[in-house]
Amino acid sequence: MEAIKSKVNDAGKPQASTVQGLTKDLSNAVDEMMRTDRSSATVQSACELFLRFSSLISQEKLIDANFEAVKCEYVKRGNVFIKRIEKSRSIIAKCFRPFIRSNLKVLTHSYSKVVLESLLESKAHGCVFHVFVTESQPDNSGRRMAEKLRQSGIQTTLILDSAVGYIMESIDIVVFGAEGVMETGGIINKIGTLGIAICAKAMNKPVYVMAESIKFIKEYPLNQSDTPNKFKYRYSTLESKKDALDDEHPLTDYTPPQYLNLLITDLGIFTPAAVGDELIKLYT
Amino acid sequence: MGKKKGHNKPQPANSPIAPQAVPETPEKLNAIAEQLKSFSPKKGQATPPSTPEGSNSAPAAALPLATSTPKAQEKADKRPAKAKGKPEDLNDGDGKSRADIENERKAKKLEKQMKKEAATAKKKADAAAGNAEKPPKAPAKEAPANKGQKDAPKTPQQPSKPALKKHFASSDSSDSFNMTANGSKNVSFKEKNIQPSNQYDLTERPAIRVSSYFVHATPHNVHPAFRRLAAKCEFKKLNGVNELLLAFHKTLIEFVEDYNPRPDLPFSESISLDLQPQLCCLSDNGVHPFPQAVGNLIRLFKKQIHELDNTKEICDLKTYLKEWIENSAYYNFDLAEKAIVEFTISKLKSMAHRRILTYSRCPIVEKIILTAAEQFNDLHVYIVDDPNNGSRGKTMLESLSEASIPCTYGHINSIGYLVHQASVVLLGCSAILNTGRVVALRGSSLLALSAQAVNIPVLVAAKTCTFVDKVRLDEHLSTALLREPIETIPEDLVTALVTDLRIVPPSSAPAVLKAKQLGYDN
Repeated sequence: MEAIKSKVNDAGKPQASTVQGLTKDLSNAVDEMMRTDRSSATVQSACELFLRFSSLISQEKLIDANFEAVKCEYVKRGNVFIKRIEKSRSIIAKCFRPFIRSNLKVLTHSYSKVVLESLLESKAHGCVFHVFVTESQPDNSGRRMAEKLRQSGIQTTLILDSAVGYIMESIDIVVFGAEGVMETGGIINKIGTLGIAICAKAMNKPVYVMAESIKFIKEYPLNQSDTPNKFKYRYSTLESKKDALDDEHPLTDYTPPQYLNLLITDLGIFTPAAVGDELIKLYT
Repeated sequence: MGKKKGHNKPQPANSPIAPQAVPETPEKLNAIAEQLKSFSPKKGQATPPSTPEGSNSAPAAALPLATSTPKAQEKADKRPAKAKGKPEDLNDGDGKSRADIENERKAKKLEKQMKKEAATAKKKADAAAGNAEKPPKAPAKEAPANKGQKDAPKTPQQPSKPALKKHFASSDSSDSFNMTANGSKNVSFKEKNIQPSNQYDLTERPAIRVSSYFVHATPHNVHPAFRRLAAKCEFKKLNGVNELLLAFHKTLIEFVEDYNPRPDLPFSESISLDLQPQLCCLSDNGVHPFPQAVGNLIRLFKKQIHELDNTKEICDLKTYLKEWIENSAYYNFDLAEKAIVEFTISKLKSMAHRRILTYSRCPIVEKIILTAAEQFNDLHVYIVDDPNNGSRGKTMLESLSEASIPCTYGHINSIGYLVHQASVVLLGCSAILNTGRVVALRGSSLLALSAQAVNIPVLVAAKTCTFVDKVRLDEHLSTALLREPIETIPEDLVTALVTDLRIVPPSSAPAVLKAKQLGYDN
């Protein structure tokens, strides 16, 4: 989100004087952002989609000789884009409400803002449920999630990553966020997601994924090794250890679509099979 | 007279106690001859040219049909051109008067056949026969009208088929169409088991006759290019849907080029009217459906014809049609294959060990592997083949070995071993159904299933022109031109379809259909 905002500000800066120059500047800005360690699948997909969206200015406005006007158009489009994604989390939260009944046991993995917002919204509407959060090493982000949930009065339990198999029989639904949604309908998420999803499938528990549409990525991985490295490792790791990546722990894993039941996005609720088509619509 | 040519029947005739069964009447002799013919279906393929006396129904009934029926049909079709006999006149003496040219025996046999068929036709008197009598009368009148027009382009072809002419001379008394109807009905008796085995496929017809528009196909309205296509398919010169499609494009171009429209109709109507008999000839009046991808092409072609602007010059229209066909061939072959190869290689790039498992021979898969070998050094190919289905894997093996790609060749029995060695499965297909099911050569689903069991991805190389808006394929109906046994692979066994648009999960097949407007309602 912040990434997008910064890009719109970039567009506002009077540096380029042609449309091509502007797009080049924007792509440079994107590259810069990708080079930071906070880059992830989300940022990359968001930037890609932003670029496409802003370029979809109608023809007449592009031919306008006054470049300033064109730049204003770009900024306008950028703002529209931002407004849309600001709303996307609340749309997802609304879509998710029917899935939560009272006295439900929800399992989630690591820290996801979308899942957090959805659970808070459901609590605000009076649902009583119990959330189990995995610790999610190596960065212990599950702990942050559990604190935030407790602050708003939701009953929360922090469990070990290895305790998922143990707890699964008493769980009702499993909810994930996603760092990226692939063309296959599968997702890229914090490492450990695949294991939980497989366990849920084995015990017939529904798995729901919440993802904004800006997280849709135009890639088709066939398996773990087919997922591009830029999603798995931080940029600095990739740079420093280009050849010895085998020793590095990947930060994310790819969960294939057969382990997911539904994807809840701001464009609607989809089955994994339908996501590919939606993605294409977005990118064209 | 026993009409049944069931497999049970021939045995008593061929038993060691045969001498007692020596027939006293020539009728019984004929019956036994037919049974013998039906008993040896494989030989039948070679016999049509040499035994022209085998009347329509006998080869039609007994022999592996697709091959002989287009020719048999043509022979049958030529007859009404000579005699304007009504369908009821099955037993008139015209056959005998021209028997001077032909063997006496042949003529007699034919007459026996006709009598039998007349008997069944009258006995059964079902809808098909009832309808059959009426339309052939109308087209029979049409046929002489066509004759004048088509004679010019057709005459060069006549000398090359003298055997057929001789045959027609002797037995032109019956209406050919009736023969076909009866011939087919004869066969339907044979159907005891409709099982998708390799043997049965070749002789099967649906027990229920598919009703369709019957058009009289005579030599005067069937372009030789189509007959050449049918002959090539018959003699297995065209293997697989890809080659068939290419050849079909060429055939269509030839047809359009030689076509002289009828003077009384606008161009588009007349060409679509005259396209009907060609297609009927190839598909045996709708009894054998066309292979899916060919069906697509025909439908799009008809759509193009429909949308023609009839006010333009005829040669302009013809050039337009020809260009459209050529473009379609270019997009669907050259460009599509390049795109598919590129997409697959981008997937292969990210793999650590490139060990590809493939089944039999698909020209696209071959191209993919050959291109990949130029880029990657560590490629290894495992070719699985089915010896019962014409080991086409061996041709693939040869071409890959020539490119110095290390290969391993095995029969389908060794799939359990080979699938553990491989890291990805690459299959070709002949069609993709609406639900994402893949129609491929029989045996491919075994590869997909084993791949799923050992958790390796299955990629299917599918051209968008092979996507069909059908949900189910009748697996045991043989198709009009291709004789290869096919089956469907369920969509959950396939990881991805590599199409020329993009890599697509099988469940997104309707999206591709929509994108390419191949749906039936378009």
